[in-house]
Amino acid sequence: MSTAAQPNPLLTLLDLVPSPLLLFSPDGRVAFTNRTAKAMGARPALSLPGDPVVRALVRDIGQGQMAVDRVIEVEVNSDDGVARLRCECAPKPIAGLVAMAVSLVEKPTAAASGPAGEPTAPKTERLTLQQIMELLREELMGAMDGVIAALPQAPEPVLTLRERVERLTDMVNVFGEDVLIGDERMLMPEMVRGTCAELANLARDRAVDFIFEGEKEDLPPVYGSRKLIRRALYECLRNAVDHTRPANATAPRSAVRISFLPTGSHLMLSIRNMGVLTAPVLNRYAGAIFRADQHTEAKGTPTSSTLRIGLPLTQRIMQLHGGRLKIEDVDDEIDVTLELPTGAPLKNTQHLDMLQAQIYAEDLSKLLARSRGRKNPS
Amino acid sequence: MTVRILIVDDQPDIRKLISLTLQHLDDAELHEADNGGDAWRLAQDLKPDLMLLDVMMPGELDGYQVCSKVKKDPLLGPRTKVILLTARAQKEDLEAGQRAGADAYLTKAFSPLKLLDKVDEMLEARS
Repeated sequence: MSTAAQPNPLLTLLDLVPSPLLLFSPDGRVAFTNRTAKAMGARPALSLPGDPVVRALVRDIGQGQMAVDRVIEVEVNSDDGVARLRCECAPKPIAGLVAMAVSLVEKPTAAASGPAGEPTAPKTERLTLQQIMELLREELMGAMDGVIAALPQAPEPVLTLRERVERLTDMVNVFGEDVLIGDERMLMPEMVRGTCAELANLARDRAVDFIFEGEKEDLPPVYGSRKLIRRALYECLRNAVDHTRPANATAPRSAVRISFLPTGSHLMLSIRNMGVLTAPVLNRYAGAIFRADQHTEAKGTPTSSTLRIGLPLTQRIMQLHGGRLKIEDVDDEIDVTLELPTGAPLKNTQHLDMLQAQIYAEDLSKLLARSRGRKNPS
Repeated sequence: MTVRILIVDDQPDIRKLISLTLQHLDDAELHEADNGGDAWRLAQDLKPDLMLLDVMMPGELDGYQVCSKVKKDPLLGPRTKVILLTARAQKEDLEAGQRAGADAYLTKAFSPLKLLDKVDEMLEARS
């Protein structure tokens, strides 16, 4: 005798919800669409998985990262033209799936008629700068990785180009509207040593040594985006290696000194070098970056592209992590200090609490029965 | 014999749920802390038999660090069992817990029955 497959009660329940709901698998595919979402003219189940911002949001939440902005608006092509959808994700995956509520912000712009009643061409979907950069990154990285893999030793310009594309994508991402900061746990000495290893060839060519001070096993961890913190460290250390000079004219090598200082609520990471630029010059230049005044350039401000992008990028990454960046002139050296808050960010776990409460409610009777059993063992 | 249990979580609701569950244990003395620094100080004072320790907490010490300190302490290490509580249970999280010396891992959101089983298991292993 065969029995009909029982429908999943949770999915049956979601099907009855009057708002459009989608469940995504962490790889960005739609695993379930409720009845209301299926009836939407904008067809979210078809259009949203192709959107790079949606994909990135789903991927990050699916991997357990915390999204600063879980509500995004995207424009999609619908049956009736271009529609703007508001998508709100649950903060954590539920049973391995990412739940997203969808609502229509703007009615689809119908394929409007021209002045003479002739139909105009359908509107092209607009892409945000972040979407464009994400597409560019996907396009270029694949090709460059192919070149790198095909050669026994990757040529320096390809590696540099790869790094530049990554940097531009990071820059657009951190200055964009939907910035995602993870809650990855990072031990800074490990992160710094990893970044120094990436710069080892460059440091060797320039006769620069990395000197570590204040490294202790129990330094407090920092939580956030490993990718972005690595970017900030790379920018600072690269800049230090590029601009350091020997302590005196006869010294054969120069040094970048890295030290760690925990202050309880923060961890200070100091990167110090004998700079070719003095700190006052660097600070004046930093001010010019934030003013973005083109006339300043004409007056002779240094125009290193490394500094131009790297400094505001690092500053923004620090801001996003609740930290700050300081540049000081200390004893004729340039001291770049990254100050990062220690410990995990405050939790935004309303959904988790609801889930926890639900599980408790379900098991409460069993718990009471067990407790009665404990009290009356016979 | 009374057992001392230290519950550490920055979320008061979670501490309350755990306390309510463990109230059903006979002869259990429950203590609470809401951050890693206090947890470490209390652990040194109380010398608990068991710690239920949230992993991600704001402040200078997170769950892994408290666990590591407890396990390295010559007085606490041999006597205190540690169950880590976390919303994340990926491979690297479990490995970090092992490196810190945790005895068990409980993933949030957890069932009270599972919690009781785990606590029983830890206390039995101790005796």
